Amino acid sequence: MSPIDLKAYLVLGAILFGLGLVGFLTRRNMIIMFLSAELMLQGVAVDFLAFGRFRGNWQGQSFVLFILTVAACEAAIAMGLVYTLYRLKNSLDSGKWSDLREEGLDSPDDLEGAWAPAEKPDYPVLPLAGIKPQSGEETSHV
Amino acid sequence: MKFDTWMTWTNLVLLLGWAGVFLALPRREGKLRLLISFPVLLGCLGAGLTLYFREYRFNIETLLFLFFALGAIVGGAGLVLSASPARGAMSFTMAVISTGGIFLLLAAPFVMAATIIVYAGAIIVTFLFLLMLARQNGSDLSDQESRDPLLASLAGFLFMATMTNILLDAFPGSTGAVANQLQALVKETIEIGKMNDLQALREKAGAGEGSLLSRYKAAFGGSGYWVERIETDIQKSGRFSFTQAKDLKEVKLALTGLEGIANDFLYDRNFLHPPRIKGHALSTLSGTDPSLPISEIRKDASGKPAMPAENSAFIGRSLFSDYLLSVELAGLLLLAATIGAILIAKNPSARANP
Repeated sequence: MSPIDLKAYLVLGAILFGLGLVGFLTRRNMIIMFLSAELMLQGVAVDFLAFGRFRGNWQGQSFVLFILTVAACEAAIAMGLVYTLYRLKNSLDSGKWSDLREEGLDSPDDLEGAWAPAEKPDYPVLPLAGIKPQSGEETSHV
Repeated sequence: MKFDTWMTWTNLVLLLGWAGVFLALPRREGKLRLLISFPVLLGCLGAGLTLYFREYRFNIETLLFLFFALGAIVGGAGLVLSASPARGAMSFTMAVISTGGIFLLLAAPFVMAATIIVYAGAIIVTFLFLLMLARQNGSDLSDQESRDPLLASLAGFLFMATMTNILLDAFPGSTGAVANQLQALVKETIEIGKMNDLQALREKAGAGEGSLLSRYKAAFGGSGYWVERIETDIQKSGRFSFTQAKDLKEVKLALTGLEGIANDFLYDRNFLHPPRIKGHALSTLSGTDPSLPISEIRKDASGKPAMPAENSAFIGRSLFSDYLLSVELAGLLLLAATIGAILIAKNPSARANP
């Protein structure tokens, strides 16, 4: 039984980094891939801060601030990039972008035509409101 | 590397986690697979919790660490495993806020505030906005089908297993045979240190020259950093010499030194052994001299090196002295990123025909 030590923080950082790695490799959505990369950065930040704390200096915290700056720049660029890519192919799927692959390789877009998305169910449609009903003959007489 | 029961259990927990994540990764069909994955993931968390409580003393700090670490891990898993991107983004927010708590525990309130503002505030909000903009007609096929779930989850968990095994091997902590031996030795040292008769103390501590010393060395495995440290700190300084010690005070000082080294090993305070060289690149504004042994740094009540309460003031002093060039470069990077983002986000057709 010991008080909390560096090892605990480093293991937490490794777990966060590993989860981010799994997310980055498996998910196809470009935004989720980006957020997974950010999760990996969080794991690294935990490690830096823990090293700084257990050594008693400011180098870890200074370094994490630079990581944060780079992450902010990355987010700005990624936001513009993802939106541009979305407008070109009308999808957030990263597998649709494979123009730079090696010649002779199959397209990683293995979802093409594999499965048709479910058709939109027939939701009830409300009539337009606020339109004056057609005026026929008077139905009531005084 | 020796595998003790501790490491075996840790690896089993990781294996369970891998199975759970593999089963729970979004795929088009298989409701049963998803149903199986829940107990597996919960079992992984439960087993991890048991390991944690066996390793660490139960106090408010460990409790807070556990709370925030669980939040971060569950949030991260939610990001990776949820088929809906909006839910994933919210899980990521939870992970970021929990890591903020971890940052607070690491005495970094300024970094915590900056992280929460930048991540949970700016990044998540813009990306949720982007998600809402892009996804107007229900969920997409690409969100429901993971790419190579088996290989990718295996890669991630192999990385985790490598890291945790190396860490547990490097920082054995308070468990295992070495730690038990050392704890017994420390107890004995404290008992011996209570004696006030120099002659009796000499006899008790060792009939021959420094037998307590050799037992400490044997507990540390006979060689390596810790044995070296006993030699340089205690033997070479001439303090731990029962036959030559002039007075009681000297012997007791040596005993305290030995006890301190054992405690450093047990509670992982001294694993960041600095190279014993003079001179380094950074000034003292970024912290103490890195070549200073950690035993000579002033400690706070928790046994960690003391950090001042004025966190942002001290980070500022470090940033604007040692890291001044890096700060300027970071500003340049932000400017370049702003220009680049504006350029990229322009309408592609407008860019083709300006």
